[in-house]
Amino acid sequence: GRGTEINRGKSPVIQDVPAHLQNSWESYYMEILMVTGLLAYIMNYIIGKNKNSRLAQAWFNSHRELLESNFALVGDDGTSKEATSTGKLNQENEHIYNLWCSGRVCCEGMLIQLKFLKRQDLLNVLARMMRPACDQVQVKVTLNDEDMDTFVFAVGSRKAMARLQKEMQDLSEFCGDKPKSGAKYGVPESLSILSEMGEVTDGVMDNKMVHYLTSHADKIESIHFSDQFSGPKVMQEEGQPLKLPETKKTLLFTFNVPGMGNTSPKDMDSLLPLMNMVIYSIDKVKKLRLNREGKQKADRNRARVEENFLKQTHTQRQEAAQTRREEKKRAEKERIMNEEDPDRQRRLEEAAQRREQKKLEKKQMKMKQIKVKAM
Amino acid sequence: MTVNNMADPRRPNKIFRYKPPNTETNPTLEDPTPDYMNLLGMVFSMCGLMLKLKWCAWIAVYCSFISFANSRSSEDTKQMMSSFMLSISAVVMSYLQNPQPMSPPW
Repeated sequence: GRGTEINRGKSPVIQDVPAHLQNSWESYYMEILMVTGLLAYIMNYIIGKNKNSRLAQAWFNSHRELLESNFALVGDDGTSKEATSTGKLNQENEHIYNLWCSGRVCCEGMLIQLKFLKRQDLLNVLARMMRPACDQVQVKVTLNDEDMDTFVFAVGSRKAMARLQKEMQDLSEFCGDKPKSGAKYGVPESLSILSEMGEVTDGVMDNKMVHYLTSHADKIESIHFSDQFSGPKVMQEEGQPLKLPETKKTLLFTFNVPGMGNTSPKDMDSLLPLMNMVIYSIDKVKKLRLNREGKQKADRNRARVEENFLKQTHTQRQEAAQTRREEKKRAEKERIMNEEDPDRQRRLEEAAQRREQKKLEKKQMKMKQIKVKAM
Repeated sequence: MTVNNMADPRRPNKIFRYKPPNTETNPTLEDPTPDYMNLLGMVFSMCGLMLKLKWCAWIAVYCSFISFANSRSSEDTKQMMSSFMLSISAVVMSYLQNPQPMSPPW
């Protein structure tokens, strides 16, 4: 037919068959790559979350006895009606576990947070290959007023102290001097000290404390004792009425788990002496009292900080008061305008005018008095 | 029989209940990763569906997986499932409309 006529004499041309018409899997290699990546992510998720779970359980198993002999309540999620020990950790997510202990002398309670690395997230695992990090255990002991005298103190790695001095509200206000090297107090040079006054450092750094710090310096990120603890400095938003941040007497410990991420469950045992140090600190802080001179200094410091704060916010508070006064006036005027009865309206207006006049007279009297006093 | 109270520091009458920290007053405590990834996943899903870009849809699937891995235990699973379903449907729709394989960017 016609087809063969046209093709006569021409050699066959090999055309490329479009990819989607090829019936081979090879052309879908990008898709296969994607699916393989997803499977790898899922596998890492399962392995990572299981590892974190095992580490958490190992930590709890090695610390359970110490905690149960010190606290009446070990483990609480806050939801049950009765305050009974759950005897287990709360899981916040796949890398953070917490444990609440309460019911002991010298403190209100202790919140322990196991902040593991995000082993369940493959992205994080890859990022950590370039920037190694370690698991952390954070212990926050909250105290009643009578459990602690008034002082602010911190000791930890040099880097941590420099960072906390800038970040923490109380450390920046009460411990203004540069961090002192720990070598002065018998602990390794790698540790630095921030303190409100020398008496506090001498009081906290007794022989037992020095021994704890020296034997476990590599695991200590920071230790922070404060009666003025309010957390990190908060950025105040514009126009917000400023109040002094709420403070709570607190002991805050941050420990690094050894292994730099390559942790095994038996590494958790090495943290037990640190928990002993925490318990020792709770009892010690209860007994640590400033002498008369120290107490006066501490009271002066706190008064100074409060005064500075009030001074800084003075203009803002004045402005806030001014806007409130103007709002009141405007509201009153509106009420008068909305009053339908013309008689009542007139009477309200007159009453408002009389009030204004009285205020003006009072002010003038005050100015006269000040002038007379000045003369 | 005398009970030596001095040795036992426990005080059942001094128990305080656990109160989860208020993240409204201190937003630095919360990890924003799951929320960002969720949002990113939805954006890529929509791009993949509207612009018929296969790679957008695949990235959306990854985002929803990452968001799930980083999410808090208290978080709503419905939200997670919906973003996951959206990204899967973006991938499926892209291939139904155009069964050609993805071309690599190089």
